[in-house]
Amino acid sequence: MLRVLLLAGLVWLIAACAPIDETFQPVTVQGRAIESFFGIVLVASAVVLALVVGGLVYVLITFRGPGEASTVAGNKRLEVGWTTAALVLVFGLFALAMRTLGTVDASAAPSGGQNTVVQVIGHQWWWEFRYPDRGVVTANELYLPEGQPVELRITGADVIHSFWVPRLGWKRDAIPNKTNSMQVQLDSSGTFDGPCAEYCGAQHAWMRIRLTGVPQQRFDAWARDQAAPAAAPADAAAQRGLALFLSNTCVSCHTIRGTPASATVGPDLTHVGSRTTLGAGVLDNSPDAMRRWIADPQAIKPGARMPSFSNLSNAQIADLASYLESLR
Amino acid sequence: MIGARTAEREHELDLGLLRWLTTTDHKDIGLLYIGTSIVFFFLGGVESLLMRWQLARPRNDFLDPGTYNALFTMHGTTMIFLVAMPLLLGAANYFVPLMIGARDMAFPRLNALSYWLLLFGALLLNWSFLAGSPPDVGWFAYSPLTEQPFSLGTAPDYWALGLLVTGAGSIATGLNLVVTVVKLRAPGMTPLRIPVFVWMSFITGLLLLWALPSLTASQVMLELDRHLGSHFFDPRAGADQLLWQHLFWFFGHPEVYILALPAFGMMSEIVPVFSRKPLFGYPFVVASGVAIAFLSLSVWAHHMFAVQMGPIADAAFGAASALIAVPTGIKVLSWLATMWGGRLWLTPAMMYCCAFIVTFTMGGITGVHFAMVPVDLQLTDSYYVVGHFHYVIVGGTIMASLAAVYYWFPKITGRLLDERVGHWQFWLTFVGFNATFFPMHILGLAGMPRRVYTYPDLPGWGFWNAVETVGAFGLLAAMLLLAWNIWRSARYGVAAGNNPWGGKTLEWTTTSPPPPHNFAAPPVLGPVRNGVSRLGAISTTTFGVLVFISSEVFFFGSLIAAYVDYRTRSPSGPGPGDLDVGRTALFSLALFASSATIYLAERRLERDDLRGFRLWWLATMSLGVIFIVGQGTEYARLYADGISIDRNLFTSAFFTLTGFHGLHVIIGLVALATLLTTRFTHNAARAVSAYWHFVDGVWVVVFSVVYLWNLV
Repeated sequence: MLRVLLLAGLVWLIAACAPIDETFQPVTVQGRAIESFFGIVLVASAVVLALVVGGLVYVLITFRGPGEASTVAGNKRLEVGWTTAALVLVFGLFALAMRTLGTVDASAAPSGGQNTVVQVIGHQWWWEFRYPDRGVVTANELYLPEGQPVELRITGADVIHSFWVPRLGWKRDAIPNKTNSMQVQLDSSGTFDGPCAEYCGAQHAWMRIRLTGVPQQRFDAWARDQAAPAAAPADAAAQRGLALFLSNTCVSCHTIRGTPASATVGPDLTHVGSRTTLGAGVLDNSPDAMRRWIADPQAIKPGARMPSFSNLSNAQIADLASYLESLR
Repeated sequence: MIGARTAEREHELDLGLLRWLTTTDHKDIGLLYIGTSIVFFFLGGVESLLMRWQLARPRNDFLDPGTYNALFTMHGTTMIFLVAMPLLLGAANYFVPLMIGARDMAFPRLNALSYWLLLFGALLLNWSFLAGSPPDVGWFAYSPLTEQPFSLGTAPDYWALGLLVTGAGSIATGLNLVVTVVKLRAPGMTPLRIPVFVWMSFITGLLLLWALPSLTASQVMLELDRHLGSHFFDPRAGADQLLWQHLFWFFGHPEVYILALPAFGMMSEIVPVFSRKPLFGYPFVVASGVAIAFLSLSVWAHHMFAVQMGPIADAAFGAASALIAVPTGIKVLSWLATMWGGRLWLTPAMMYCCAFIVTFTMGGITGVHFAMVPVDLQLTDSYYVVGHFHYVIVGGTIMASLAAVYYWFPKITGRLLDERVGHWQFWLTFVGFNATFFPMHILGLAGMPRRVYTYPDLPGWGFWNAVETVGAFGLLAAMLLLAWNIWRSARYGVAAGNNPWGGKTLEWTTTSPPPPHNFAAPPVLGPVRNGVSRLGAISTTTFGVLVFISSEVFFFGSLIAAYVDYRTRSPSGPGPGDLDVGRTALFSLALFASSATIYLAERRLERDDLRGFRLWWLATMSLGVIFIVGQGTEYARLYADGISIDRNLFTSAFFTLTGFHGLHVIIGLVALATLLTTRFTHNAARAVSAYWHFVDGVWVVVFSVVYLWNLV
């Protein structure tokens, strides 16, 4: 019975540890190099920790209690020996670290200018992604083609942020007045989430990134859809929503390509209906979530730059939401 | 003997609150530090428990983001500056003079000032809660979040000004420790006989002196930005966003060793006593402490790999950071080897030492992970790093301090802490600690970033966060139990006698608690050497000034670094070309000449020619005044041309650098004048003169960098 319980406990513990796959199952060529190096570091670390703790336990068992203590106050040979061993171990690992870093940096060299370039811009508190050669501007959700080298050019619009999708394998800070480069090549499709990793003010917690890796063809199709201007509102509610959008302060911050709204303070909403989350990860996108978000973003994401629209009636908010949800 | 008896009577007369307000006794000041540290430990602890309650489940709404962000900022700032540092400085204050056989610190009144600066800085910082705008920018307060318009209120000002005040106190304590250890050791206490705790306190003193000024300088720049409109960290003016990070971490990483080295010292005192065996490899333990101190000044940018500094900086800072693991590892092995072959006496103090070996080694190993640049790029700013530094600071500094509490409590109070309660308290601490901080590594690997007030409901995240919260309340129970044990044992504990553990260091040779004068007869460890060493020839006052100057070098170094960075960085507006080099050279000559005149004054004084001394001394002052007037007219001319501090990056750096130099000249003039108007000693004159030479020397560098550079 005890053994079954222990076994169940162990299985359960392993399951609880499963999320560390975020680090140990990278999906990029570069991330795999970093992860396998980290594996070596962890093994070496475990050995050192085991030696120290093992030594301590042995000493505690063996030399406990009163009696005659030895008077040895040092042993030059032993001390020089372990100093040397520590130096060799640490610098052996460090040499591997530099080699791994070389792999990550080497792939950052431009390979004939063919790479897709994506501009990653951190804002308080959302991410802007621009694909200059595709004419696409989107927010919080990043699409990348599988198997293609892509260069992310990362910067900060206001304060310092940090772009981190753990499954990529590493991160880069998004710093005002500085453009950092991150060369990524996805080797599998899927959806990979990540946070802003550098504290950037009130809503640092809800500044999440959703990266979707897709095969090249689907990426091309996605980019074509996203580059297109917004669809004209199809039904009466959506038409009223567009009118409301244009007559309220929405236009002071947002762009909807194909309409007169062209401000660049907040996220580009041209295809907001196609996104899976709202408020940089705080809500899953749905018509209901959109209504709640427009009515009172301050209740959902306190401190966010978007004001609450309590001046609008429920019907008006429903119209706005139905327009925005139609922007797919 | 008569002097001693008078001191004792004074001690009796001054009992009561007044004694604590007026004391200059190092033991009283040590206790004030420790008491303050305990109070803030509970405050910082409450801050962390509120955070843990909020994080116990995903999307919790117990705290709003603004409150949470203030709590993590104040928790980090409090635990580092108002808990760990005062605790260690308090222990050093209490025990360093005792361990070297001295009667007090070198500068007792400065020592009292240090403490009161700490207390009032701490109160100023925490006043922010009552004023309604607690700092919410993180304990390393990265720019430009701290700048207008991102922080419009006074929150960053409380942070910067509160820490400026405590920092001044810490620099003074560093100075006091260094001078005390160098000048006041008992006869015969040669460098290799100095107890390791004293060695580590001495090195910590140097680190305080050399590392804190860059924090001071960057906080000054931040306040100038916020209130005088300069642009040091203003992205819209093109400011270098890495300047703050470099200056902050140049302080911030040595700070880690300021917290670790005294803990290493405590371990090196306590482990041998309870192993009943001498410390294994004393020379290696001391040398590795020195090595850590110097290396720690060259590893700061390992906090910045993710900012993309380029492969050369990555390699250099990575290698230095990896290297620092070696002397640290040596210490752990030395403590293990000390226990090996000993006869272990597992008191609560020794249990905490054993826990330290486990938890600090764990923190050290994960520290090496952050020296491995590619691994750092994945794990930095995640909960992995939160786990790491809590294993270092709580698993290291706090574990060693708890060992020290059990070890030295009988010396301070004359009574033993209850050992049975101590063992319970130890196991609660050890289990609570690991439950709180180990899961952080898992969450970091799972992609949880640090400093988030809430998190999405991802697999495993809620579970591990809940475990941490339970662990944190376990730690609370352990600390309450300790407080109870201290309170109770101080009253009803078993009498300890002078040396309950069989300790070999000097503090155990006097009574418990020690008398105000520390020792009935000053301890002598060996023959007093006849020849006076070069260091021995310098008076304590002059040596203090020289040590202070070494600290000032780092302050001006930071300002000069900012100037070099910003000299021509602004695309438009005033630049170095607007300076009149020839004119400044003229009044600079006056300052340079004043070094010669003050030298001549000193020579006259040595020959007891007081008239000649006064004449040259006054000449020095006149030359100083000429310089200041010259600088004043230069400022006036620039101002008339519309060139002021708020124009661009160049003017920000120019006025700050030359202005602070001018301020130092004025302080020098005040010192020169004060000396003339009081009955002074030759030593005081020499000390003032050393400071004046320094002020002059700084101008040689500033004049070259700011003015002569333009001629190249």
